[in-house]
Amino acid sequence: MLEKALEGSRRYWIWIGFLLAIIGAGVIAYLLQMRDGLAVTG
Amino acid sequence: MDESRRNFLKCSTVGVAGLGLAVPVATAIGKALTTETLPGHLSAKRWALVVDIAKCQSPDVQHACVEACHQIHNVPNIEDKHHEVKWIWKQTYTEAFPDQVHEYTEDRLKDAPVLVLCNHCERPPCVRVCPTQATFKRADGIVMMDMHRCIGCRYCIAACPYGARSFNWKDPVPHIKNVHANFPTRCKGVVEKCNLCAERLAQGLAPACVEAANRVAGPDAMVFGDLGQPDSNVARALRTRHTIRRKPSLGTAPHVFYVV
Repeated sequence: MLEKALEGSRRYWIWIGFLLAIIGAGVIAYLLQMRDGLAVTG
Repeated sequence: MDESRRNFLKCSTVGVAGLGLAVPVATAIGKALTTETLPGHLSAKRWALVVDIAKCQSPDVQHACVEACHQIHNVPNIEDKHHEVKWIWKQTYTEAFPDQVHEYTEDRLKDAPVLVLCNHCERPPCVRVCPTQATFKRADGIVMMDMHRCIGCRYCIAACPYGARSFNWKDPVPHIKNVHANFPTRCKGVVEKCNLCAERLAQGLAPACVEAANRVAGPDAMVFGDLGQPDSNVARALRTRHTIRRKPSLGTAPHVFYVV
C-alpha cells in the first residue's frame, strides 16, 4: 500500500511538500501554545 | 499447590493487618491536617463584608487595598487587559450597580470608583457550573478554589455575573514583582479569584483589603465579620445602615455589601 504513496510525478511531490508545510506550521503553533499558554490565541 | 496456598494465606494476613493499621493512621493524619484545629484562627457561621463606598472612594485607599491583596496573593501585574489577573479592583458605580442607576442618578455616584471583588455568594453560579468541583463554597460562606483541580475550562468565568474571576492565559510568575513565599503562585491555564483571605483568617487576621482600607481611610471603611452573630460588627452595620448588593435580581445573594 505505502509504496504507492512514495512514487509520483513532480506535481505530486510539490503537493505533498505543501501539505507537509501546513502540518509543520500546525505543529509549531501547537508547541508555542504548549509553552506560552492560551495567551497565544487569546 | 500447598506452597502457593501457604503464600496466599500469608500475604492476605499481612494485607488485612496492614489495612487495619492504615485506617486509624489515615484518620489521625486527617484530623491533624484539618484547619479547624489551628489555634487562634477566625471562624464564622457566615462571613460577610460591608464596604463603605464614600470612604473607599479615594485613589489612595483603593490603591492600598488592591496592592495589599495582590502582593500577598502573588497576583501578577499584566499590562495587557486581555490577560490581566485581578482579585480586587475598581469599577465605576454605574458598572458595578447597573440596576441601581437611572438617567438622573446623582453625579456624585454615577462615575464614582467602587472597589469590587468576589461577592462570596450564597448561591454561587461559579460553583454550580464547575465540572470538577475545583471551586466550592465552604460552610462559612467563602467561595474558594482548588487550583490543582482546575482544568481551565473557564465555565466559572462565563457563569460569574460580577467578572470576579481571572484566567491565567500565560505563566503569571514572571509578572509578579516580589513573590510572596507564604502563598502559592499559580501556573498557566487555571482560573483564580479572591479567597476572602482564607489563609489569613486561619491565622487570626482580617482580610488584607479590610486591614488596608481601615488603615488608610479610617475605621469602618470596610467592616468584616460573622453574619451569624447578631452582635458582630458586620451584622450591626447591616442593621443600622442602608446597604446594597451587586445585581440582586440574579438571586446569587452576594455577601459583600455596599454602603451608598
